[in-house]
Amino acid sequence: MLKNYIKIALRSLFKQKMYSFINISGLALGVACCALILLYTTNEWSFDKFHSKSDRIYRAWTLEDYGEGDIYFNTVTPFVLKPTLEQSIPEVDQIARRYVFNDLVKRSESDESFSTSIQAVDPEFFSIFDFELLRGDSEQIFSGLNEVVLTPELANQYFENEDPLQKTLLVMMGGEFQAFTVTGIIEEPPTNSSIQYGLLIPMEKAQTVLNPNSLLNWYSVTPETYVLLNEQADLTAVQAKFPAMMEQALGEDYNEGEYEVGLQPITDIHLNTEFPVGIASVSDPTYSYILGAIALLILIIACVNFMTLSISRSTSRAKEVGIRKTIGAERHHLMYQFWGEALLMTVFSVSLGVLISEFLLPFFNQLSGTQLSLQLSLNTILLYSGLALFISLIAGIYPALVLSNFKPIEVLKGKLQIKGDKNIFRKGMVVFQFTISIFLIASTLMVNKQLDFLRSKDLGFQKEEVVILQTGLQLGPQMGFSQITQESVRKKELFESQISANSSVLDLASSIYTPAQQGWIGVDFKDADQQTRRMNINFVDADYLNMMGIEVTEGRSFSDEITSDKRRAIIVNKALVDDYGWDNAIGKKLPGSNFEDHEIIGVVENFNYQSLRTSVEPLAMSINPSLLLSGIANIGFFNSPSPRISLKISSENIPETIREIEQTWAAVSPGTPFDFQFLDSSIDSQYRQEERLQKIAVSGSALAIIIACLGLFGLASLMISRRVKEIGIRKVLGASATSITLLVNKEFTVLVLVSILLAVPMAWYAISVWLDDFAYKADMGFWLYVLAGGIAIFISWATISIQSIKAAQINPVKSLKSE
Amino acid sequence: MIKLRNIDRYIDKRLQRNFILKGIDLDIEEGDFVSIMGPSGAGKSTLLNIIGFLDDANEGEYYFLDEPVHSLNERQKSEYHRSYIGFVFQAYHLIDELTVYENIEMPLLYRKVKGSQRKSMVADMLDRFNIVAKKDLFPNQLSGGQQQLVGVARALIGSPKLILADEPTGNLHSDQSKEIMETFKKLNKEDGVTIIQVTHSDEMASYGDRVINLQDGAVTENNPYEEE
Ligand SMILES: Nc1ncnc2c1ncn2[C@@H]1O[C@H](COP(=O)(O)OP(=O)(O)O)[C@@H](O)[C@H]1O
Ligand SMILES: [Mg+2]
Repeated sequence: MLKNYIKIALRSLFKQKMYSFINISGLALGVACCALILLYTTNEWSFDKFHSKSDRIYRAWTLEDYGEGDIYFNTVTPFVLKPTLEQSIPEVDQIARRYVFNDLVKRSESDESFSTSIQAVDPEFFSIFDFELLRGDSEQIFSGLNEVVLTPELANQYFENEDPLQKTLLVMMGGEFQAFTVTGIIEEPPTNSSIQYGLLIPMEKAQTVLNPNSLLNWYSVTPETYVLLNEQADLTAVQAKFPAMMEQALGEDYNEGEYEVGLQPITDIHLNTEFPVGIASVSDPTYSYILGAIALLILIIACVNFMTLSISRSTSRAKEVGIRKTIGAERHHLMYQFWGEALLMTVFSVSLGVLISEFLLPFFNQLSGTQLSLQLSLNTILLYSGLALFISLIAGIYPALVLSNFKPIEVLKGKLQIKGDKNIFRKGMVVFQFTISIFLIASTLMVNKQLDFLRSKDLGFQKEEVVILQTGLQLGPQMGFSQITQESVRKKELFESQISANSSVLDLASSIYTPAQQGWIGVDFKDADQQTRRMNINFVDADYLNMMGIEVTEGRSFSDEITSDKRRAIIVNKALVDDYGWDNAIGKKLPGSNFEDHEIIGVVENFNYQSLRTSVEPLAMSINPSLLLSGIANIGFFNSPSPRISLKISSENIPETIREIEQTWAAVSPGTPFDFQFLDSSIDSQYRQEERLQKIAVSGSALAIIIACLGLFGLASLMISRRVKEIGIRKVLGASATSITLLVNKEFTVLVLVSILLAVPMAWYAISVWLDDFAYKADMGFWLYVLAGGIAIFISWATISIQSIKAAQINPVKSLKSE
Repeated sequence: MIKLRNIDRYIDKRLQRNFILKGIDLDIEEGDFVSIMGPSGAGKSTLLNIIGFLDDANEGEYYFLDEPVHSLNERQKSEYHRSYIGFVFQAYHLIDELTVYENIEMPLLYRKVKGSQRKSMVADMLDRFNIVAKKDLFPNQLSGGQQQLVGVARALIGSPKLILADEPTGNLHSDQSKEIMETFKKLNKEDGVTIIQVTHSDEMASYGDRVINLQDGAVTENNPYEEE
């Protein structure tokens, strides 16, 4: 019996080639999308679960709350947390801290050095986590100070084919190169690991170059602290002991509720955006939701195609149903048969879809920013079989129900009427598909528009032809803000003196931060009424505002001629003036009482130093760092402060200019890596997420409309084949080919119009939710929806017309004869 | 075997009720060979469909093998279709996607007959109707008469007790028609299969031993030849 079913299924599949092609390819596209999304989400959900002790590993967090919103929530912790936990919490098995910094590494004195990401970790790192030590003695590892462990890839990079063990690497630490011996090779971190690494050194060694105070200080946070609890430990009970621990640790500084410590399961890190980002990167699940939703919508559209086409063409199987019933087939036999056919078709489609997804994978990886690969394991095969079964159930059951319900005398007499639903169901499905398609098209257009807007908005400063050069200067034990800014200005001046008069470098200036670095330095201070005031600050040299083309609207800019500017001048932006409610800011002082002697000499336009997600916040700039740092109560950094030199260059022959800058830089600051960016591209890179969304939306809506049109194409051809006679009669009566094409198109166009009406409010709502993220929004023009609708109508017309023009050209004599 | 009492079949239109069959009383015994005759639109097909459980009467009683048909559920009706009743249609109604062999085999599949037995039964049938050479052809590759032979073979393969044939020879040449009728007659005489056929032709009707005339949904003559 099964053989008979399969035979008939295959034969009717081949008999109606176009129908089968549309059904299978549409579904395959939908499945390909889903396969990719499944791959992506399973990867996302599998993060950090590969550690055999993952249920006992936690990452510590600290939450300082001093009231009035003065809150510091961190997943990087004080160094001193490890010894404290080890002493006070008996349930703690082991603790490993890690922190990451960049510094220069080279093979030998004569070699070139490269800036490399270095992980400082405690020896427990190798026993808490499942990262396998491929070579070396895990008991002895990091028992010495100058040891280094490498991944095979890095080992190969440094030592190529030589045995890396016991070889020496030179690592820049505390301003000089120090020799480290390779004592271990550790496996590459899996892609689904929050903890990524390449070169590991002992934490104890890294600490020797840090400020000793910061190692004992509870208020400076640097490393992530991973805690392995013992098997009997109860998390709540453990966390209950933390307040007492902190009371003892902080002594008289302790106030209840001000300093909280807690533990976050390691498996929670990757997808939990409620915790601040520490060293481990966190993935915002929003984009995977959007991705998943689009994939699901596409799959639904494909399933809907499957249903409508199956039902529309059921007339061709109706006679068979009648015959089988008169022979004694029961309804369930027929249900099985037709559902089985759907299953066969979905198995084809799923297999094809998996193949397609293999082809689409590189493109998808680019969209989602991942490095996924497709592996056919027993699990995935089961998963895809499950998917095929699931799709055949939702897409195949309804047609099976309709078909198996035919009454034999009706179908054998040849006057089949699929009861009532025929039109409504089919039309409803077309409307449904086009609503989704138009929704996606409109969203795509809006994402495009917003991105264009973000890119082209006048930010209030010059962003083209500006090169940002990293000085590599860092805060350190002997380097305060004043030292690094002065050193940066010195390098800038040296640079200036080295370049020729006709150089392509037109102008240059130094500053601690440049635009597109999120946040600059955020500070709080108390005014005379003990009110907390917030502002951002930046330290610039006298040329910076002028060089960047930032407009001074009141007062004047910093001047090299006026020597007191270096000491006591402040320039604020319009937002600060408005925030503090001043009429005229010139000559005023900041309202905090602890600031050194200063004076506001100018007000600048609200230029967008932050991304356009936020509106411009109050800003104060000075040449003298201690001026603004003196009076503040709290300070927060989004990026470690490091001076940069901005260079305005000529637009001609940029590669040549870059070479000139590199050569000059090598002379000005020998040994410092040449690290530069174009300002406009780093500004654009702030919107990388949006660009990703744009790509996702474009490909999603394209797929959706393609699949919907496949379905429309099939439906139109079925409808026309049923109306051949009518069309023939109309032609005999004198209707033109055009009027017949219009007649057929009209029916579908009405449906697309209805879809537009449904899709517009949905799209409008989704878009406004998305735009809420931005302080600066492009307006959601009416034209956008008109365009989205227009695109849908155009594409649907093109699709249907292929069929209807063909029908209109049929010789009426032939079509009438065939009846 | 078949007992119809006061059967009505009607269609309700908006304002009036259109009777297709009205007040049909009919008894058919096992082993009868009955021909239903009458003008087009008289309700012959409808009557045959009711007898074959493909249609339901609106009023009246119908006993099949002394069982009230209105109390049969779908399952039991299918059971009868599988093992008691074979249909032959004017339009043959073969499944286009199946070969001659597969069309004939199909009823056996629903009766869960074992593979080897199925093979020999189908082979017998092909033999009996002289269509062995055609077994791998599809219906559209056959002439009308050949298709009807396949239709008959398919109806017979389940060895039914009752064959219902709606104008089985309506589309056939007289030679082909005769062949079909001879087959029916043989079945009726040798195997005792009850046959009810609808026909317009006196010649075809003469193969049977009883004629029922139907006019406007009512039996006008039951067995007109018997009186002669
Ligand atoms: N489902 C139905 N709906 C409406 N009229 C029907 C239906 N079935 C049959 N009829 C009508 O009933 C009459 C008898 O039909 P039928 O039994 O096919 O006649 P015959 O087979 O004798 O030519 C015809 O007029 C036909 O149009
Ligand atoms: Mg008839």
